[in-house]
Amino acid sequence: MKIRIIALLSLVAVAVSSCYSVGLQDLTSDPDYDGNKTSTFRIFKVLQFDDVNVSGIDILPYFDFFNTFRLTLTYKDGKISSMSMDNGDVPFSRKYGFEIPSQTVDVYFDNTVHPNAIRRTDTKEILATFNKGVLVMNFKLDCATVSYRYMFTGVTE
Amino acid sequence: MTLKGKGKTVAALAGMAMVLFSCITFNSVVWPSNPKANSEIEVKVQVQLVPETERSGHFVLAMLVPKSWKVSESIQAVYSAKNLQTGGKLVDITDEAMVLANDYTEPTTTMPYNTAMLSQYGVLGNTGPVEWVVLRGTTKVDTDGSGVHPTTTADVSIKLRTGNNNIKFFTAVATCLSDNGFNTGNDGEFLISDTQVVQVTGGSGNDDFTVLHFVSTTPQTFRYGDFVSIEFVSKIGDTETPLYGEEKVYLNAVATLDDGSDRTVKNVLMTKSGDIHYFRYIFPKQLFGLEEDAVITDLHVWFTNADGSKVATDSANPKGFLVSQAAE
Repeated sequence: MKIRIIALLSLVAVAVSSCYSVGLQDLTSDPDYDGNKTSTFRIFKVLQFDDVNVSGIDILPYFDFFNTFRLTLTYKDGKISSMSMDNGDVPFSRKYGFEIPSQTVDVYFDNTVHPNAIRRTDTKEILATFNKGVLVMNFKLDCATVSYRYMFTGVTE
Repeated sequence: MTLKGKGKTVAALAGMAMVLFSCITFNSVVWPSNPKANSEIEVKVQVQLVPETERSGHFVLAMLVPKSWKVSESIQAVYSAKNLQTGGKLVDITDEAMVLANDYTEPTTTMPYNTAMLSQYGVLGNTGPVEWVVLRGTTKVDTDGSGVHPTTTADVSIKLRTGNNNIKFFTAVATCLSDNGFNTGNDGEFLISDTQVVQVTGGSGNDDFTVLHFVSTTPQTFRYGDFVSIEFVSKIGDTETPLYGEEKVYLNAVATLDDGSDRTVKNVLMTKSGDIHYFRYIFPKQLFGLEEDAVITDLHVWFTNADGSKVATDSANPKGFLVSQAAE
């Protein structure tokens, strides 16, 4: 029984650490990374979910404006410390469950919840999460039974 | 021992036969012969449980019905069974109430049962909004697999209220034991009945979910503030629209706003995704150049070829085909 519990705890530890490390993957692979850096993300998938399409349909290919959205994370001493978002040409801005901050806001990485979250330091609001190692934002627009998920990847600029 | 060639085939067929003929079967699924709109109806289902394998869990029954009926608000179901194995005994159950179990977790998908049913089995060809409603018995069934117990027959009575509209739709029922969920084969048992058509009359309107419509949407249920794919088929059965055979088809749309004004867009190229099927994803407020807080109250569409000489529209509506949004 002990061996099983240890194995289970090891699995949990690997899962938690892998979520965190994937989020930092772009940075830690940089030989010049000293714990302080800015990383910019773009949307690579916009999944639309409803009662029938529970796995989601990627609608990003049909709308160019999603390519203009940018999310920027700043790392200080190896930790996520602030975040900014530019809605670009996306034609809605008040539907993310929070107001898109007009300026950079202080955030912290919360690994006490699952999925791990990026929270505003002042209000504790969840702005984004790490879902299976990918930075995501979930939101709804108009219909209660239809939901959306932005999935982000790092931008090389 | 290893099996080769015909031996493997025979073994596979024998395995399939075990799956097909073991444990749970539907003896009958009976809808009222002439169900009426806006009235209470009773659906009777008889399920046979052969305790030849070891199983446990609560008796689960799912049924596909029109969303507009809001069945979760009206459904009442009971079941009776003789010689049901539970806790090492054979018991008779009479009119045991079944509880609504839409939100219970289906163990193989870990999704709520009604979502899992949609995900795995879809809408069975319905072209209008339908939903799976899931019920569960309260007595836990334990079959020991000894094969010495008599076959159990469970009679289920489901009472529900129909909606206001005349409607025709495909339906089916599905059943399993809650611990097994969608597992089939030797590790579990799940069964879905043949599809049947139900037609409700005596109400208003005429919703026919059993036929293709020239215009449909993905998602089926959405609001004008959502992203939506407008879909068009240029031919249904023997009925051809003027656009049948066109390589390029264009979407035209008019949005009516809450102040009564109309906004129109024309000649938006659609994507052809089959011989007769075309689609175009839109975000309505962006398509019509509206502000974020604008309110669209109605959306109508029609379809043309490149020069507009061929038009497919709703002959009964001067604005075109109505693309309805959900109530909420």
